[in-house]
Amino acid sequence: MTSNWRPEGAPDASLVLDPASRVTHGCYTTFLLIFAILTNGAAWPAAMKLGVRLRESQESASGQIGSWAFGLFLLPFLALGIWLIWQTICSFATQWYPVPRIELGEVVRAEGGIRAGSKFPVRWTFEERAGLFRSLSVSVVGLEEVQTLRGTDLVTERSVFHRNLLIEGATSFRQGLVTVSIPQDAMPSFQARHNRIAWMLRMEGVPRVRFWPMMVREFVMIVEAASNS
Amino acid sequence: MSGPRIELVKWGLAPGSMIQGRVLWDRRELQPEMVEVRLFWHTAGAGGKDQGAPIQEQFPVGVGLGELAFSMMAPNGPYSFSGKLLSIVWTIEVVVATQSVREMLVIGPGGREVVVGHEAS
Repeated sequence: MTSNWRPEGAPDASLVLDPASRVTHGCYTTFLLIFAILTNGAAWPAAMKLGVRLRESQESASGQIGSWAFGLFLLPFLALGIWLIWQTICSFATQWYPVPRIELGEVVRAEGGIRAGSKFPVRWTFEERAGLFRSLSVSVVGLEEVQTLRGTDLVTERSVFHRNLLIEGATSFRQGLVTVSIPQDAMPSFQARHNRIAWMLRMEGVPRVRFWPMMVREFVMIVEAASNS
Repeated sequence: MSGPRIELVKWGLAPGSMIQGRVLWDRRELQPEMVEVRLFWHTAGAGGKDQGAPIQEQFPVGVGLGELAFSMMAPNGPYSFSGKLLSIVWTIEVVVATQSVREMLVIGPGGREVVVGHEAS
């Protein structure tokens, strides 16, 4: 039971938004790394052993069929192992993507925070490594997020109910300015232990290197009820 | 009558407005000295359940009566909400002696629940 449903972290005096935590991302990378080591550590030695056995070809015909069948059985595990290595590399690399500095306009302070129906300027600045990306998109997203236990796993699900694309595919983006509008009838931010309603400024950068993962940075904005409701 | 009953003037309320209603019970069955009215939110849907701490008020009851009029302030939030994964529901609960009754009500702008549509994801 909770007495407070209002999210913490309303804009402070400097009006700078903080990015979502990197700790979760670090845990995800570590999980991927461990899973990749275990999968590859089991699948590849077995595959190599099988390869040596088939090359030496000392087995009877029925024995060879059995070895090939085992080889086919191993294939999905080898593929999973390779995929996990790729995902681990991508996940590790994305941690070093730059974090832009996000500043809200003074009007937010004057209005006592971000309210449903308010309109305010947001400025971003990439202080480093912006050259890694070909283009940038910026949007405002409203979403529901719930956490539930499935077996022993804590699973997080999201559903987006509002998306307003402010900039799409900008190629010059080291710094920029957008005007954010929160709908008049917007549901205010809500935060409880397992459930939340969040509003975010979402930035998506397309990397210059093909097949490299997108940069996704989310900055939570605490939206309060319109002052007339 | 089987157990107490709640009647509200309005079941949809704007945040900060007055909740006005009355509680009725069988005075041959229940002789309460006080009636407690509780108001709380809880979540429903795909996620784990969260519940807000109740706002509660006690109202003294005259001897031999079978009804009580009450009023209390609706809180400023959270709004009643209906989404794809999550709903936020307000409940009013009335305790009369050993029995209680619960009903849902709506607290939101204009006395309406906030309902959101969803984009394909």
